[in-house]
Amino acid sequence: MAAPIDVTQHLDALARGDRTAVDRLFPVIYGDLRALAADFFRGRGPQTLEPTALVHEAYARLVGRDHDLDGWTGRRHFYSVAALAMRQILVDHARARGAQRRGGDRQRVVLDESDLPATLTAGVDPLELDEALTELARLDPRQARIAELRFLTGLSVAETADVLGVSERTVKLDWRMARAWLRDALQGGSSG
Amino acid sequence: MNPAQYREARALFHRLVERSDDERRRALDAADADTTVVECVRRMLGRDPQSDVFSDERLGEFGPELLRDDTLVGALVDLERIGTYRVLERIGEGGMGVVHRALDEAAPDGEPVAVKVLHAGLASARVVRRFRREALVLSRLDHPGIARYVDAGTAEAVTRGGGAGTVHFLAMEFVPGDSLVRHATRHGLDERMRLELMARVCDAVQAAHDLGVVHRDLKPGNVLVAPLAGDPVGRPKVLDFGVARHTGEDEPLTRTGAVLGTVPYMSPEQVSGGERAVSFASDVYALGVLAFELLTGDLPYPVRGLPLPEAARVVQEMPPRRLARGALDVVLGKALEKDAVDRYASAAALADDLRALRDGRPVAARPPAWTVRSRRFVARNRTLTASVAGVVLALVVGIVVATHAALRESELRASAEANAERSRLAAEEAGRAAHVARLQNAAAALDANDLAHAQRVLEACEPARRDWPWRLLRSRLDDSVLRAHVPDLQRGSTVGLVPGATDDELFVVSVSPDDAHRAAIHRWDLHSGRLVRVRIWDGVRGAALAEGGRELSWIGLDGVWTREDLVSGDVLARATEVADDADRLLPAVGLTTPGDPVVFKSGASGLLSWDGRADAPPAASFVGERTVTDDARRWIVTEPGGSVERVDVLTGETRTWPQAGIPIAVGPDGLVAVQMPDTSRVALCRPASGGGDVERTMLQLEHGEPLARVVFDVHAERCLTLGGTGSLRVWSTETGAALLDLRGGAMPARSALFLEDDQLAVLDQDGGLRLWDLRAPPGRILPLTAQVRGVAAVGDRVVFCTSGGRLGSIDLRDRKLCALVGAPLDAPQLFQIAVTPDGRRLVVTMDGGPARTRDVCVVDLANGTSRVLPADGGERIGDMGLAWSPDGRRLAVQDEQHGLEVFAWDADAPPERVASCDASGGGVRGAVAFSLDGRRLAARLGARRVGLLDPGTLQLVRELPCEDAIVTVLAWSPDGTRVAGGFRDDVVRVWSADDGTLVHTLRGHARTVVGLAWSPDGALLASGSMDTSVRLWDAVHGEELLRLTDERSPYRSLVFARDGECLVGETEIGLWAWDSADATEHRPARDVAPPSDDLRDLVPRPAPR
Repeated sequence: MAAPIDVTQHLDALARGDRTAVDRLFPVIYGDLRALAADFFRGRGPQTLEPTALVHEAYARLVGRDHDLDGWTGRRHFYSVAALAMRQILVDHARARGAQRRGGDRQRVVLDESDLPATLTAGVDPLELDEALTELARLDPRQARIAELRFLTGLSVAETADVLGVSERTVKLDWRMARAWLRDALQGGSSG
Repeated sequence: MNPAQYREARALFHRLVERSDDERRRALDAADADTTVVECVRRMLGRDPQSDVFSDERLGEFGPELLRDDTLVGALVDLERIGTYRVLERIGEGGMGVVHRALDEAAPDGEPVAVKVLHAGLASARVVRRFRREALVLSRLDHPGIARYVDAGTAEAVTRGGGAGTVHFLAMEFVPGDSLVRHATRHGLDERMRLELMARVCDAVQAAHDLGVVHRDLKPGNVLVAPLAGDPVGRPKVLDFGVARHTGEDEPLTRTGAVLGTVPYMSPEQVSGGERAVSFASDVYALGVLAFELLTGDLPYPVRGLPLPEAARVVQEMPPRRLARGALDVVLGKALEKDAVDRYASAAALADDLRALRDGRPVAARPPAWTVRSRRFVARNRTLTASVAGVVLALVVGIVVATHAALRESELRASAEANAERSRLAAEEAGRAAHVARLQNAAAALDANDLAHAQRVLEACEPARRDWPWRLLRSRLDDSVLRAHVPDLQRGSTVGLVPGATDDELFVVSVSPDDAHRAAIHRWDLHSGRLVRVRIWDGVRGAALAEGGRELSWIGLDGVWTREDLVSGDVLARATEVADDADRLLPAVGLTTPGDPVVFKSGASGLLSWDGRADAPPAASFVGERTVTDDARRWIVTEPGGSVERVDVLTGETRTWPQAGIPIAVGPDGLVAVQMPDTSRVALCRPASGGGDVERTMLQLEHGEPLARVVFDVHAERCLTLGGTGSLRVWSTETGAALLDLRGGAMPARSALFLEDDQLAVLDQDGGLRLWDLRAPPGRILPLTAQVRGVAAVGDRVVFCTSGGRLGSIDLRDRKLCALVGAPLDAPQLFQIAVTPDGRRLVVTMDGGPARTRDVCVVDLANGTSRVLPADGGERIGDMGLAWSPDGRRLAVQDEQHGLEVFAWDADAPPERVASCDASGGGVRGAVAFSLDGRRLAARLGARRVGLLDPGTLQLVRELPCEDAIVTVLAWSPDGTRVAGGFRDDVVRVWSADDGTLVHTLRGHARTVVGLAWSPDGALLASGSMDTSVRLWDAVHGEELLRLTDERSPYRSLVFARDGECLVGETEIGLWAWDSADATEHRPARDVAPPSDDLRDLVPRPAPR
């Protein structure tokens, strides 16, 4: 595990406006989130695989729970980088899985389609999602950030507003639009 | 589309997204924008309400599914060993795990068992619970038709590749056989045998039902058939109780509304997602589908391959395929009824009819007839209504069971109406139950100080159901007395609250974190509530205002320190800091008191202080990166390189901190709050006098959630702890006792300030400013020191009498004492009070001289005269019943000696006793009550009897059954249809006044019920008890809604006041009020004038005619 001081220093640098700190932070957070996911599969680490849990856990591990008593200044920078990292992890994962499926050395045996619980049909391809987010970022960078924070790291409206330094109302409205846009982009073909 | 167009679309979307469909359409049609933009917005508005993985309630589902690692699922396939079990082969894989055939090596001669494995890491806590639940359920079931439970737990699993990991496992009887349908095909079972086979499945399911277990996921794959020697039919074994649920259990294991199970076998109530509606009858339905499939080779509905919503619609609306096979059609049709009540009452009943078919006997099922159904429907709804009590689960709201069964044409109309009515009632019932569950959930969250959750839950309540209990709970989210909002306060701004020159003002100083470095000073007038910006200017690194709001000190980006007069703008002093430091300083907040140096904190360069009065350059740079406490006047705490030091800025003295934890606040006299490593506790420590180490007084304050900061009051007698989610708690620093929990929304607080006159101001991170009155705390005890003895309500006021012989009244709108009158009663003690609805007359009981004798005294409030009621035939003794008729012209008095008496007034003539009877009500307050139309009197007839009487003659009209309990208090519902009584056996009974039947028996109190009050709309009944709690009941459905308080004094009288918005309870220690009013509507009076001692000011004077 990385020494906590590294991350806090980078976060401080980020707080001072040093954008290069993102490049130094990203690999650390990315690595830690991946490690957490892996821990999870080994039966250790966080209790669930939900992104929010992962990110909070990563924050606790890398920064420490009692750091930054002033509340949110450090945390918000952390979350904004964590959102990027989470997006990358999902994309990497999907690519790996796709590769495995296509040329895969392992066959997954699924019984009758009707045996799958109905809740597990999220039906979103992370690669398509990544493309859609990239396009959205071109049109409206903030909406793309909101979508990342809400959808990929599971932050609440309040937390998202906090990270981006905008009002909750803006986040709510922008999230609704970003969400509609993503739905449109991801299902565009079928809706005509 | 380009970014500019998107911006345009965004503006339009924001403007329209909260409008109605109609408004949207009109606005879009009229929009002055290019078609790309308009079409984009139109499309997106259409995409807005969709329910999918992007929906707020499902956020968080996306990630886990994608992160689910196939290789690890794969790994489960290759298991070699699970605990003591050696894997023989993998026999199946489902959504939850993998099933193996295995041998227990601890019992080498044993039979092979089936071991189901769930990867410990794969599962959410929910799935694990479900898995464990299956083991638990299975271990309770012992029937030859159910796969036997063997063992369960967690174990180390080893893969063939040598990997290892922890898994949850469930070992059960291994069934060597085929699934239901395949078995029948393979063994060539004829129809009679298939009927018998199906009946045996029903037997097994019935066995589970007998133990209260609903399977909820019956399908062919979950019924295996083991061959049976000499019996080709075979022995069916029901498997997979993975989603089974005990009917007695509250907690739904599936996420609310999530649909589990496999669509073709799911009953209409299951596909509609009504978690609570799933019952034994749902299993009967699934058995019907299995029977259909087994006997016809096909499913009753063509739903395979349909998406879930489509399939759900089909299952809910379409009739099953007809087979045109007479009795078989009737039997299957009955099992597959859309409405659970129309199905077979049990799996056993279905088995009976299947066997009757097998033997060619007549079946019990009859073709449906609607007259029967509607009767049943009414009966069922009665049970539904009764069974809601105690439901604590959040339900899916608005389930619409739109069933359109196939009917002969002549019946179509009636059935459509019945269905519509049934849907409406079912939806209403579910909605109401969900509302009650939410209220209770929110109340629990409030009790746990989890404001954010309480707020979410309350916001989720349907607007149409936001009743008084809802408003009451919402008011508990914020019990501040004054609110304002600091505009444009950015998150991350440094802020400070500064007391003003008078008690009526305070100042907010803020410096923005963005490139503008904008400082602002706002003045908050606590009298008017107005917030006014005093000054705003850019290029500020840190700013501080001295107490009184006059002297301002600030440091600019240019490194210039300035001290100036905020009012006149005169510069009092100015200095330039050392150039080296300029680029390393962070935005900082300053601290200043007149006469002290100005101190700025900084993350990078340590602490800089500047004595603006000495006109000297900044100096005394302590190296450290920790916190300068906001409230420190002399003590500064730093943490250079891990160790912690206290620094006295005035003397420069430095001491190392000797203990774990981080000092986060220092009181004015040096008391230090140390945050303990678990972050939710602080220890209060006082430095030893005369130097040396810190003395550890170590009062520990447990806040309950991680703390953001601690603030002391000016005398360090109290401190406030501020939690990370906005919870606020006030403590005594002497005893360590928690004095108050303050509630004010769910925003984390940034800064707080105790004001001189017992008020507390808090600024939250969104700029919300709130003021609490610590004298009228959220406990809502009304401002009384006297011991209250009786209470009555008149409009916005409560009128009470005290043990000290005085009459008083309080205006509930501002909690101001309006009058406190000694004369003219001149009684050493008063005991009870009742006031006429118009507030013209009141009656009290008072000391009558020796022993326990009491006089009943009627006071005319208009002219201040009073008159003691005659007591013919002996003194009145002890507590009595007192009740005014609604028109205020009759008074019922009940005591031990005189029984029940009614007195009448005519103009100003003396009261005259118009009726009496010897019904003794002695020793009981309030056990007599007039109905609101004045035509009936409810009274205690004897110790264990209650009756309704004619007030003119006191003839008994109707007796109300008491179940041999002793009544203590009676109250009429406002509409006069019901009477409620409180009893010594801790029960509240509600009768119908029309026929005297007992409508509700409300249980919950642990001791005698002594106070009762109906809300003005008759929907709520409040009861107070010697058990120190007040409970609110849904008077219509007879179920408990909320418990309002405990751990106080026993509650005696209760009254609803302020049009039912405020419930007031009388206790030994004063009056408590639960008021739903939004606190912004009124303010506590700051200029507390002595209350009037004029009797006429006790209640508002009637308007002149």
